[in-house]
Amino acid sequence: MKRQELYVQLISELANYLLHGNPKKMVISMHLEPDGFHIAGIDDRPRTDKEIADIEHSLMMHQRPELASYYGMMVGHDLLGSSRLELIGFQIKGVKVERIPEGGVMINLWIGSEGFDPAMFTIDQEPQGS
Amino acid sequence: MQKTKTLNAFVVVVMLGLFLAGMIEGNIIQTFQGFFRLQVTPARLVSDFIAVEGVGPTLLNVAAVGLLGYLFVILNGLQITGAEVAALFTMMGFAFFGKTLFNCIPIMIGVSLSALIVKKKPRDYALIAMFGTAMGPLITFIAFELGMRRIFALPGSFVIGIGIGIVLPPIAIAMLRLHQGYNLYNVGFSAGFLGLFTASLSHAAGADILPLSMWSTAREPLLVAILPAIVLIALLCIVAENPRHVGTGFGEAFRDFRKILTMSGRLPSDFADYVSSKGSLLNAAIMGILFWLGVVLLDAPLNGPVLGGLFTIVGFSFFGKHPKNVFSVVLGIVVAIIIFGKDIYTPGPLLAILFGTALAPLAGEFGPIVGFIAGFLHLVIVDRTGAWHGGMDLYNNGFAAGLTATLIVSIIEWYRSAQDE
Repeated sequence: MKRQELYVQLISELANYLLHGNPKKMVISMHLEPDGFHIAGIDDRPRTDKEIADIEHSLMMHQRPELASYYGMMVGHDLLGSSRLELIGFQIKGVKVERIPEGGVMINLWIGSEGFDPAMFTIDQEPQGS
Repeated sequence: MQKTKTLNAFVVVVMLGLFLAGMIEGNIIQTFQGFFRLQVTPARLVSDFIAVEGVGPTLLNVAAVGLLGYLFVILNGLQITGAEVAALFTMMGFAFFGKTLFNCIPIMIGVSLSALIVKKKPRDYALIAMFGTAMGPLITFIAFELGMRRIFALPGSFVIGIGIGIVLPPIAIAMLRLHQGYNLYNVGFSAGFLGLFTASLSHAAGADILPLSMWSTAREPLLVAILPAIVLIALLCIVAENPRHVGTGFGEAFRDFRKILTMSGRLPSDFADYVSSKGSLLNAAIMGILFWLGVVLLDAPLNGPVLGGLFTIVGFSFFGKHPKNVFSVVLGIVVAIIIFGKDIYTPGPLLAILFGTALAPLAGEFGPIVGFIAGFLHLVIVDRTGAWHGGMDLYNNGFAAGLTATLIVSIIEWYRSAQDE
């Protein structure tokens, strides 16, 4: 799959998820690295601890190549019904979900090739948007 | 990981049990002779291998096809979770009436080659390879029914099988987007689509493919006992996860089963991964025994295709089906059977009740009324689809369910878009 297509699909699914919560404000940013990329989705909808735990649980599915390469093709395409963060969870290398001072959440996703290490990602050391 | 170990043990014990049951059923030499004859037997729908070669050779074939799938999973370095259990039970179930080692291997090689062509690993398409063995009857047809000389027919069938496997992944992915994951037997939909072309090509070449009708009606005690035995193995696997605290283990399994009941089942809903192996084993046990009881109380035959349906239900109870989302679909099918005056004991309606549960995610996501309509429409269309592909797609109900789901999803999508405006 072309990288650009993957960016669009992941951003669509994340946007679909955030929009299901009817936020008044939503921001999605993408930051490219040599061996991967980082997508951050921010909204202003307050969430309970359980809701945040559910987001983390959905996104922290371990890597399932047999599901990602087949059912993962639905990411961002099929937006009927509830949004499915699990489909993103099969493909990502790292995730961080945190509350932001404005009251909403920030969902950080790291995606990269086989050798990609999210711990080495510069976004935490030197935050910047793109 | 404990859950993977438990599901691995579940699958291995079931396969071993089927192998041993096949061995003790009759004379071992005759069982193996029958097993080898099954490899060259026409496999199109509906070819009940129990009617063709009897119980022993059929059970040996089921165990052998299951082992092939299991080795494929292991060699690809995948873990046994819900999706893999569904694929393995589907392979085993259809080995009662169509799948053989001979007709599965070329397709699995072809799908693996397809992955390499697009610079992926064979494991990436492992599920498509396993479910894709639905097209097996085409290979048997070319090898043994087309009337070609063996020297050309055998390699020819192998090469065509590999070709089918190569084109299957792009079709499966495209079909998935049509129904958006609301038909659990997506490869059946894809294989039916492909089968339309192969049957039409065959017709154009002057060799019409006609569906078969081999259907046993006898009730062998061993076959009646298979499903309860699998349910017992599932329950023992729950116990094995925490043998010192059986009550706590079942309490946790019941709590997780209730969580599963809240899920829509839309592809890919891996209950073992999303919830727990205990909960999914209990779900499989409940689903298996409910449908088995239904068949027994109806006094319907427990032959190869019916057992295939029950195996598929047990398998997909780890990957999308649960009592709450299948109920309205089955009700819709039964009402359609009554309204249209169909005979519930004939293959079409009986198999539609079992395999039509592929539409369960529609009920899970949009409610029981949509599930009922889906079941009703499914019975109407599945009656005709088998002839379209000449019985070449073993998952004929998956093909019909794909058409039904696409229709319903299109209408719901259109309606919801209009509402939003």
